[in-house]
Amino acid sequence: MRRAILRSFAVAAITLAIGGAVEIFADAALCPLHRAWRHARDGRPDAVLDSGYRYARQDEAIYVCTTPHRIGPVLLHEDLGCYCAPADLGADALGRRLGGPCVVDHLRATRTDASGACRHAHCIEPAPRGLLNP
Amino acid sequence: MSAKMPAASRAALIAFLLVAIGSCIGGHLRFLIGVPVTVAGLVAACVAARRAREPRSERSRDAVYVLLSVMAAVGVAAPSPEGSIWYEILYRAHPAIGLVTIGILAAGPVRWRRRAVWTTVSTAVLLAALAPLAVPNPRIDVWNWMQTCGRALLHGVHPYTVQAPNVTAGAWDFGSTPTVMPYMPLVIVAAAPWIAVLGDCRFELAVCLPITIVLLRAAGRRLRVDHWLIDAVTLAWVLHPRATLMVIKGYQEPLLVVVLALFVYLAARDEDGYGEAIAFFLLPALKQYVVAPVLIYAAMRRRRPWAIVIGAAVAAATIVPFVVWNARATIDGMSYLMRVPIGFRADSDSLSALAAQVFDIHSGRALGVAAQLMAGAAAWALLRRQALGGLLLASALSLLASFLLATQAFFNYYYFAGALLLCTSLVLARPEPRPA
Repeated sequence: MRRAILRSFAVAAITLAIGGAVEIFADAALCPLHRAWRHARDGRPDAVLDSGYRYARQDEAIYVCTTPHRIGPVLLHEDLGCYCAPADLGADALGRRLGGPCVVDHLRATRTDASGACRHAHCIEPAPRGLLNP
Repeated sequence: MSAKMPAASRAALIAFLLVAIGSCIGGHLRFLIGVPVTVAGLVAACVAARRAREPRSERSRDAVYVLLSVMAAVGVAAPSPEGSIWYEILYRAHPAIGLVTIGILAAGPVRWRRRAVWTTVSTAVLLAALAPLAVPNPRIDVWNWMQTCGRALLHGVHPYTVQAPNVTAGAWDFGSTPTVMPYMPLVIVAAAPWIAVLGDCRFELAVCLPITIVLLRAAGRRLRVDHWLIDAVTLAWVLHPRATLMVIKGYQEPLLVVVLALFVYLAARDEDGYGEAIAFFLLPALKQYVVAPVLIYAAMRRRRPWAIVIGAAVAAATIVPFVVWNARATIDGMSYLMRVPIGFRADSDSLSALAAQVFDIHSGRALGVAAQLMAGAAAWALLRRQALGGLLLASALSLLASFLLATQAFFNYYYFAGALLLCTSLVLARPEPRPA
């Protein structure tokens, strides 16, 4: 019986290891925020964000932030993302929270506004990104 | 103790485990692992259909133990319930306890096995019962609509004439913001007493879990199924990686599952009875997507047409009072998801969403409906002689095909399709009648 219990824990550990490895691969190779960072670095005039289901509310501004994408203490790469946060928070305060520099892209975004890096009021939640919060 | 089980039952149980595992893997891994594993579940269900038509054979249980362990691991890494710390600890401890139980199920004595299974059931029920207290305000429109419309009904206001406040204040837009409750009236009728007494409709969903377990186990005993399988099915159900999230978010599928378990329990006694017909017809009265299963049921149950008439009449009786009260509002609400141009959800657990990601092909809503009807017709043709097991498996196949090709499909949809597979596993393990 003890052996069977150990086997079920071993299968679970292998499952989590495989899931973690695929997650790291996806984080490293398929990260859309890093793709946006690469495009910006290469000088391509693409939008940083122009899709998704999160929109800036009326009391929120959209900030463009360059942030480190870490797995635990290991730096994976740089990300570039459109973050929505209260308009009165300010780019510096948000940058301190996310660990990278931020600039205001839209103080008051609308869904019809196709200008700037963050278009049609699309944005993401301002949370540090990592393995447990992809 | 035999280390083998009926091949058809085993394939259905494996199909359940794969569907539950696949549909509960989201985030980055949704299209890399989640959807492919769910498709593998559909393939395993097809294998179960083939085995159900073949002479009975036995297969090893080993794959079941492995997949149960994988499912528990997915539960350990499930998304946070976003409640208090003590609840988070209990939430993660439950699948870990389940891993010990899986080992005991594989090699422990019967007495230990029974104790371990009931311990795991207890932690699952505890998690479900505490969910409304641990996460008092889930940020999800389903719960908000249920609470608002349930309270309206309790105050004598037609539930389809009120509108729930937007919980995210416009921060999230998934392509449609309902202007009317988009659910069936029966879910509100079932939720209202719980809202009146305890203030939260999710206590009703929490109670569904122990009732489902009791009904499934009683059905297994009536079917004279091996006790090991009854314990395995019980364990598989309580280790579903997002069973607790179903309650936290207020999804209504636990109610469908309890009605399904009641149907199986009643059908185990009399496959053509009135009670089981009523139970089966209550499924579409609870959720609009249960279309093909009812057609399959009607096509398979020709011996007692009155049972079908009575079942359909009871289902209609859950709707008619609301139609008489306010026909337009009721029909608008019940048909909301069919008539409104709801946006394609790229984050769906479906092949359609995968095709949209990879090939930028956006399929229409009709594809999922057509898939359900076509898969249902094909499954009925294959399984119409397999009685109760055939009905459950054909229903599961039709719904899985539909969800995998739908514009919107999430783990709660697969939760019910999975329950159909789990019940199939129980029924297909029924011992063959002895020759006279």
